[in-house]
Amino acid sequence: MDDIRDYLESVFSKLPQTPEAHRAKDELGQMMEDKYAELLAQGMPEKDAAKATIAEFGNPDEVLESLGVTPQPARKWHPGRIVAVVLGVIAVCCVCWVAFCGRAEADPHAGNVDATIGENFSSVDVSAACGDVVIKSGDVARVSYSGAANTSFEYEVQDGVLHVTQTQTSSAGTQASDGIVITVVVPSTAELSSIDATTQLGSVDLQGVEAARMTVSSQMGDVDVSDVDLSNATLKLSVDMGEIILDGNEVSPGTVIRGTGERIVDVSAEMGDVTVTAL
Amino acid sequence: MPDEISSDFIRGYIDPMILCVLLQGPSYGYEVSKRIRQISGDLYTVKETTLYSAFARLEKGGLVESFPQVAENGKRRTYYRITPAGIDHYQARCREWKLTKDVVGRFMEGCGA
Repeated sequence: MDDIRDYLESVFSKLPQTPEAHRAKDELGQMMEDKYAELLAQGMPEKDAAKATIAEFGNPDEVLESLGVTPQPARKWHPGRIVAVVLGVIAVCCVCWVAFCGRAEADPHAGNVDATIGENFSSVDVSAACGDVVIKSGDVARVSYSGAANTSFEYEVQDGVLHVTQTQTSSAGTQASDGIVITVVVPSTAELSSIDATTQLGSVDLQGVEAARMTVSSQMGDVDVSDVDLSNATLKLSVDMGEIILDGNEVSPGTVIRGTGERIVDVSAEMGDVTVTAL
Repeated sequence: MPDEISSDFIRGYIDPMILCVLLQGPSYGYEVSKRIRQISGDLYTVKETTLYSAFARLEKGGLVESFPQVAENGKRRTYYRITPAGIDHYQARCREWKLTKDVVGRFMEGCGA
């Protein structure tokens, strides 16, 4: 039952919270609950019943259309948007300049970390203020960080979740993402229920790491998800100002929903490209 | 050769299918989908998203009305009933179907016979 609710939540999460959307979610939930209950009554195990219910849900795009939301909106470069981009570029330049000036005094080794994680975890949650995030598969769980002086870096396993957090400690100036890399290695044997990875400035790169729910985003930078089995996935890809490249093909910008599978892969970039390549 | 029904084609007929079910009395989402499957002889199963978007469209067009009702098991559900305009629409679609079937049939069932 929770699987079904999670699925509906993810389908509706990025829609405007209108009464129509609320009603659609409520009614689709009723239909799914009824179907699930009947499959259980027929003796189907809970997991299979949830799977079948989600698999037969249909194409979320159909619902969006009935809500008056265009599933793949054509982006127009209206004046407000151009101003936003120009301001964004200016902001990035300032950030780089401040960081460049500040770096001469910074201890290059400050904040460097390379540690093996002994505890078991079933979820990964990485949140970075400034820097590239790499999550990949390997033999043992590891976290490494090549940082800079005015950032703090913390990691801990709590309630089965590996939290990796990088924040800015100095208010003197923000840091350029250049050269700052947070790497998380997930054991190839681990079965993860969720991966959340986000950075404000920098790229996010997920290679061959899978979870039932994957949410990957960057505010300013590219997001790359590769070597992931997408045969049974619902893909939600969205960009504000970049391109979406799915399996080597460019698809229309905006928000794109593909597939109705059980694994939920939500990839977004505000100013950057989203690239997703299946295994 | 495809022996399966074309879902794109049948989606164009989801409105009269729903109206046909509701002609037999008010009903709710899952029950309507079950009736559609039964009447189709298990040859067609409507997806939830298709059904919901059709309900929303039909209600907007004044062909059905929705109302909340508490079911036997205490669950609160949205029920739909067909309106007089819905009955008219259904009958018009039935006439259109007869014509379509007749015209297309001339080309699909033994051409030139």
